[in-house]
Amino acid sequence: MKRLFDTGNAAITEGAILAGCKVFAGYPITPATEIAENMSRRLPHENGFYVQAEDELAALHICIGASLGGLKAMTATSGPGYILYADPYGWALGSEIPVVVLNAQRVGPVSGITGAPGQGEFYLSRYPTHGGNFESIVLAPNSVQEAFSLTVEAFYLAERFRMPITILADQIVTDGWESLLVPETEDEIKQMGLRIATRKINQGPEFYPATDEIDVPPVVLGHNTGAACSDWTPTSDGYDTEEVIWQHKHAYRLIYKVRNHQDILPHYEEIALDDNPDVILVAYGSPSRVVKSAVRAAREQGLKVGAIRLITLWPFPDKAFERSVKYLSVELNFDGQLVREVQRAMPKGSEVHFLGRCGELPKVTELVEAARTLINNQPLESIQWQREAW
Amino acid sequence: MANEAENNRRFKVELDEQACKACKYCLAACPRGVFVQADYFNEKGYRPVRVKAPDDCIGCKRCFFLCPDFAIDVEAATGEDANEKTV
Amino acid sequence: MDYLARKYLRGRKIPSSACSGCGLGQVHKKVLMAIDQIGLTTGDVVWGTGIGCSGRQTFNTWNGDNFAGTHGRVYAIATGLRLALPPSKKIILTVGDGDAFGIGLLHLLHAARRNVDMTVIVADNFGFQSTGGQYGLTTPDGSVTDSSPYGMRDPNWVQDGRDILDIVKGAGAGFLARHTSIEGQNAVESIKQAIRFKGFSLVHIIYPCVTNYFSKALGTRDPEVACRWLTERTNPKTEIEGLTIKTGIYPVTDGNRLEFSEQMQQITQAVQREKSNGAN
Repeated sequence: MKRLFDTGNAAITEGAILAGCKVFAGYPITPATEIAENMSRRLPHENGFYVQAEDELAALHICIGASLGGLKAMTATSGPGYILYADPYGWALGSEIPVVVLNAQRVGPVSGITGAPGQGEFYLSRYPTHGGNFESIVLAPNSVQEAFSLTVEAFYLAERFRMPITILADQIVTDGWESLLVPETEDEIKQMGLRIATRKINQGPEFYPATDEIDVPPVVLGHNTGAACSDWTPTSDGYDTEEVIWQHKHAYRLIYKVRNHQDILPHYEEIALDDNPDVILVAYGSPSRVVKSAVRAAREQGLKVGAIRLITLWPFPDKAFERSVKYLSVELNFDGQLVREVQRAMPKGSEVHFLGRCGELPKVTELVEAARTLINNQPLESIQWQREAW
Repeated sequence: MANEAENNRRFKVELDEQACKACKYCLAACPRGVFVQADYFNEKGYRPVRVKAPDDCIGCKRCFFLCPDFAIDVEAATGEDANEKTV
Repeated sequence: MDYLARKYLRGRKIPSSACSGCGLGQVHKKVLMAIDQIGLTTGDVVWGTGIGCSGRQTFNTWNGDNFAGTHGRVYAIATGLRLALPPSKKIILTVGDGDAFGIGLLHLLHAARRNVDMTVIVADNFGFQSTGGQYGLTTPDGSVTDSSPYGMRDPNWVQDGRDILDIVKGAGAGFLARHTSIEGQNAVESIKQAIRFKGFSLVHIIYPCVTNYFSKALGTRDPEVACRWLTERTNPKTEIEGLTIKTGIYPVTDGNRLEFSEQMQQITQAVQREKSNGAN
């Protein structure tokens, strides 16, 4: 086991390389630039290639092209680049090509503040492209170590589900320095619970089955399998078609291969939920670290507070919200995104409230006081748009 | 392409009437009037071009180059066909 | 089906659903003739296509491996694919004028700059014809189209001293040529050179769209009239007004640059050599 002290960006690079990433194409953007830099240094040692693309449209298209040729590939960006991925992301979703996409969220909209964390792409990551008729898989690390392990996992899921996977990180996770364990042997990989899938090649002639199956190998070009993959609705053998029946089969496959196999996705973390707490804080990414501290602080003060920390954001883990309780969604935006999904998923009679911060993390005391207010059945005092009963 | 030597050779020109979309590029291009438009329809509903005067083909391949639907083959005749001409 | 189609194409999309009189098949056929005359098999080529008439009609016609990219991005896709494929595999892309010279121009230029080994066949029908006939990047100046009812005045890429091939050349393309689809073996010879070229090559081939472009511009769908119009304007001996088309191989300055994937391999090998030297 290698013990390092490094950034989330370095952890993501190491995770990708462990998972077998051979191509990284990217366009520099804060706070994900270091991933590109690290990849440019590391990949040549691993028989891999670093391509600095002309823009993010090209970056993801180059990755998908490499993956279509059989190489595992990844790109990384922040919000302004993630929105440009919309075009290739849809292509990879529709053509079912494995690829890994990382978004180190910074505060927005548009360019916003380059070095400040944000969580503005929660919904964008659910719908990273147009057209609907698909499910997305999105993972959210909250530490350097988890940035490493979820990158490995993203490559694994990309292969099994044959689709693009988004790692929705944030500036604090990618820029932060922490200790990092990197396994060096097969045993250590297993010991850490890391899963790695090798690339398989679809031999055809059926490239797009009309079922919810996973583990169907993706299309790989260059092996003379008669492979066909396109942006159009495909028949099972890859011809472009305008018959609606094939559109139905296509949509069914893209939606249900994910919906019907959610059990193999990473789960959520439950924090102090055993004694049916009065208030449950909900978060993902870097705010979840403050939330964890806040639960501890609240408990010390005798407040029955717990937390749910999401690791898989999409498909949204509705199961995590079966308790009828007061939820408080803690997120890095003022408009309220995660809170809407909690509201949808929670049972009737529950309450959900919102505590947003913009460009900075909330404070532990702030969270404890909000929890206390809710426990005392007092209305959560609205501080302009930062805090409100939802 | 058409030269004196070729004029003495025989060519086999074939037209796939089911593939034909009746654009008539071949009719316009052929210097010898080998083709004519049919007075019937093919499966796709086009009145295809058909080969009327195969013996007149000089092998210039203008029709072949212009046919957008891979419907025309022009080959130098071999065997029996080729011998017929020399007799 | 003719011998080329039987040898290289899939029956299901031949004949294509292109309009009667569309010249795209003439372009398609010339590419197949070049492939055939070089002696390549279906396993030697990965065929990619873009969006529009030229992309949709040629996608998955190749009886080997096929892909169709998003509009204008197929050059970036091919760049990534080039890294994964063995150098012996040819990448041939059939795309339209809008794909190459409009929405995808940025990626096209960068593929030329990087000298990525691919052959781009730009099948140019003077505008956006699959959407019903709007003017595009190569529509002759003044043309009446569905989106230029008073005559197109948007400066195009091919007149008034502008030549899109100059731009692609400036980006570093190693082989360029221009032809019309109604030319013969001379066009096939250029395509052969393009495919053989190790690096980025592009052949711009103009073909008639009788349904949309010529029906509006010349008032007829007669392919013979379209052919005559193109012939008159191809390498004219005397000065004529409007668009003229100079065909043949387009001179480039440096056709011997290192190819992109070879460059990438060299970096990887140099780093590893240095590492093993350091270890010794």
